[in-house]
Amino acid sequence: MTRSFDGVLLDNAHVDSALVDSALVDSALVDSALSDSALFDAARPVLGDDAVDACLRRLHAPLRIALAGTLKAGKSTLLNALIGHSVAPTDATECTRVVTTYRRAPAPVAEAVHDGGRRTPIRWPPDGTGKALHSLEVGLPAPLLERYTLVDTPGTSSNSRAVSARTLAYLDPDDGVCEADAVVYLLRSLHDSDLALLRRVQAQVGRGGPLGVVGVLSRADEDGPTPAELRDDPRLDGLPRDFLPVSGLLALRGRTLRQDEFTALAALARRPVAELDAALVSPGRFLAATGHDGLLDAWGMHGIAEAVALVRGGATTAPALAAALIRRSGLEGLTRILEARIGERAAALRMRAALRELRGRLAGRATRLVAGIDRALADDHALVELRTLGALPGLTTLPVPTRIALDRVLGGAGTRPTVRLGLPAGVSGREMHAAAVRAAMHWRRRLDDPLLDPRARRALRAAVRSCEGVAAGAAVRTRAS
Amino acid sequence: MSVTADPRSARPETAEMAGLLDRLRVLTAGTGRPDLADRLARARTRVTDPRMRVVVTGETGQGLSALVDALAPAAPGTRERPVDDEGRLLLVGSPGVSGVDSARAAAALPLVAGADAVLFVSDASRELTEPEITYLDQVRRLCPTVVGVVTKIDRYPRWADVQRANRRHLTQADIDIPLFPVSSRMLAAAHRTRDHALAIESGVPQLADHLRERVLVNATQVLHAGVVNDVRAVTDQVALGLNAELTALRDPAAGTVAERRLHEARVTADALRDRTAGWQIVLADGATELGADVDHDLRHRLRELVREAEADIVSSDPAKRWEEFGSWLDGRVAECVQANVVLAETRSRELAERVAIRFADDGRVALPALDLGGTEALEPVRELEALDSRKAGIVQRLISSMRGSYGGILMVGVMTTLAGLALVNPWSIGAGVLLGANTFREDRKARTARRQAEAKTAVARLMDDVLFHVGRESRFRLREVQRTLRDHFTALAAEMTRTADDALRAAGEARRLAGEGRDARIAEVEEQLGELRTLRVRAAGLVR
Repeated sequence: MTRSFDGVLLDNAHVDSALVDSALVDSALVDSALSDSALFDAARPVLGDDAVDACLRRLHAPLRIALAGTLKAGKSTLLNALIGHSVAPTDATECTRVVTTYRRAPAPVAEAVHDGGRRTPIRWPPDGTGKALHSLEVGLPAPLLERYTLVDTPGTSSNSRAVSARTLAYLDPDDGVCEADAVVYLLRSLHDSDLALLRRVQAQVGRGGPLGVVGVLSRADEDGPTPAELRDDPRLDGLPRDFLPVSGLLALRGRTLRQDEFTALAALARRPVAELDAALVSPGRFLAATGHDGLLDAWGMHGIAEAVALVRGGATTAPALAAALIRRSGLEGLTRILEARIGERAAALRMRAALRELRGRLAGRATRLVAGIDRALADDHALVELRTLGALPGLTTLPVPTRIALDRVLGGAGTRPTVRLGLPAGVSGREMHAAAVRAAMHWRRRLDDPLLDPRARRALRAAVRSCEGVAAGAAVRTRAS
Repeated sequence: MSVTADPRSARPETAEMAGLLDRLRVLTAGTGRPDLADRLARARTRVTDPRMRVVVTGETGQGLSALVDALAPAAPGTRERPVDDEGRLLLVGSPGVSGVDSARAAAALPLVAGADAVLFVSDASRELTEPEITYLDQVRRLCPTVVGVVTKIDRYPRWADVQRANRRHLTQADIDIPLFPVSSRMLAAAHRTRDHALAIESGVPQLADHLRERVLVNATQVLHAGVVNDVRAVTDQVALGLNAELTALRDPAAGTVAERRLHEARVTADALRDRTAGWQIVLADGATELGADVDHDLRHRLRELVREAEADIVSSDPAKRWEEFGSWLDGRVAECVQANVVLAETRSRELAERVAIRFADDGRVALPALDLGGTEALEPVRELEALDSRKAGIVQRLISSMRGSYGGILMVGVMTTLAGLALVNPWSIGAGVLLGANTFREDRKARTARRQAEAKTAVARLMDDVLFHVGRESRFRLREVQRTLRDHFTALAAEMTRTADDALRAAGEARRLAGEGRDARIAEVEEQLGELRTLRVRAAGLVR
């Protein structure tokens, strides 16, 4: 390897921009945002520019996503894969010992938060953790962090009760609810400790806590249950059942693939199949046959085997291999679901937070303006949809096909009208209107069932409201054209 | 998994041991001691069928079944599978446990208690977790021979670091067991490519060797040592009678020597009776104490748990997380019951040893197998009941606050009518709103308090139930233990008393024998004694 290759990051910009751009804000949201910003302008004479700008800053605060799971489930690796750099330290043995927040910052910075709230700058990665440490905060100039603040939690059922307790204190605090907007739960195989923690997090969904739990089946190797087995597992009743298979390691290696690594992998792929298979039987054999101990350390046996297979399958350049690795890892599925569930509603959620702050500052003054804000806050359907989506797995009184249909119409797979109604992309406004009205009628009819329990009734009502929203939007578009 | 031995392929020392026991049995039966002969027959059955059960346990998804397949490739799908060609070592797969606080872990424990050795499996993807260490600690207390296995070393290049971390955790927990790194996939690849070196690298052959050579041999040695103990006890008792008779035969003239010898025999017999007389008291006292201790331990643990649960209930509104609280409580109850069972098991063994000392100073007396099995008691008794006042309807709360405001309006309204105002006026409305809000707040507080009280009652009722069921099961099991011990030691005591009596009787009879009959009898007894000595020496030689 020549030195010039070392440390050269391949162009991964396409991945980041895909993550960021996919926040396709639909027209209805833009409309309401415009009228909402008029409210802010109206408040300027009353409160002064500084106060209003402080509220507006809320609009740009990213959403908090916590990564949780048992010891060595691959939380830090997945976090690194999402950010696109090896930031969070990972090791063969237990590594993350305190809750660590990764947020956006213009330049890299790391701070230790002590019990009591005092902050001190530290070196990164930290060497050993102090006793009275409450948490760590890392600032990074990464594009993904503009939209999401990521929180890495230590594994539960750790070797030390104190470490497990820290995670529990974050995910299910005694006073109040978890501050994360969404929880990504990773597991390698379903244990009772996983079930207990999932239950505790799910119990907070819709009570002001996280807006949803996204399950990830961390594929470190080929063992463990399959997503289909998890979907049918009776122990997961009332909990999220859809676990996306994601290999954080493959994704991270894809996103940080260096030219020298590619050259080494391509050389391995050129070796005769039988010879390489014999080397891939064990780490010892691989080292003896190739001497690539750096590669082995970073990629693991599974990663090398997968990468070689991809190179042989036609990924003959470094960017092609990087893209193939990311595809193979299933990371895009995860980011898609995060976008569909949380990201696409981010604008509405942030606007609510900003409006609520504005209303608090206006307390007692400008009553007409406050009334306008209250009207804007009253339309909380985006939030209702999210809560309903989060609570859907628990609605066991509804049959599974109904729950799947509800998930789609509530925007669980994306908030675009065509996605909600399952229509082809280029459909006309008139057709969409008709389809939306039909769907609204369908769900309203289901509401007539006298045996529905209240939670299911709320979910169906939310579906009706979503369909009506789509119909209204379509009507506006038809009239405009 | 467990390993058992098959008499078809008996090893040389086993065959020799069996032959020796047969010969001794004939000899013993010939001296008129069918009870001792029975004991030898039982020992023979044990020797010729020394199947060792090795239980494989660990959390689910750690490669348990792959390890079983690699260690015991024959007869896939059966529950007990042989590791060695002779079928002496049988692997028994236990259901994978999923966290030590689960009911499945509790179900695996009795299997472990009945095992000759335990393989504890954890894969190389991560170090041992705290629940695993806790489980391992319990396993170790139930079965002395535990072997740790780190699986999947073909997939994790850093397995050596994981192994080191595991060793560190084990040392911290004061658990001293060997750790074997293995890979069943490497072994499969080695079989495919006929690569002997790779098979060795997989670590499976070393583990199998360890099981065969150390675990099996150790267990066989323990078994043989027990049998040799039996042989020693039986030969001692038979020889006692024969020696007394011989002395009497040699000195028929009622000489002083013979008198003294007879007296000595009598003293020995009396001493034996004295010694064993106390055992029943020791057992009865010990059993009562054991029952009280086990019961107290369970009550203590549950009381602590109730205290913990109540603190949790008081800290917040219990209705919000009742189900989650229930599953937490179930887990903790299972933990308490497990720990209690472990205590009962160890204390029962101690009691058996204490009684055994009454029979021989060094306690080298055969101990009965104590079976504390039975998982029924370990399964959750029933669910925590739901809270009645889970949710108060908003209507109900409104009505009660209206009631409060009504009183306020009336109270102040009546007073202000005296001042000439209408019954409903701003003052009385103000009082109504204040009192209404107050009632609303009070109502919420009262509801939370009621829910907390209800939650405490539910917990107390569940604990009562647990204590009732588990306590009953535990008393039943301990009675069973006491019965086993009593039967065992009664038989032993009867043997010893009979030996003493026989010795006296034989000596008495010998004095009446005369002439040629006596000489012939002397020769006969001497020959029998000689053979007893030989058998005893040979038996001792079999245990290295």
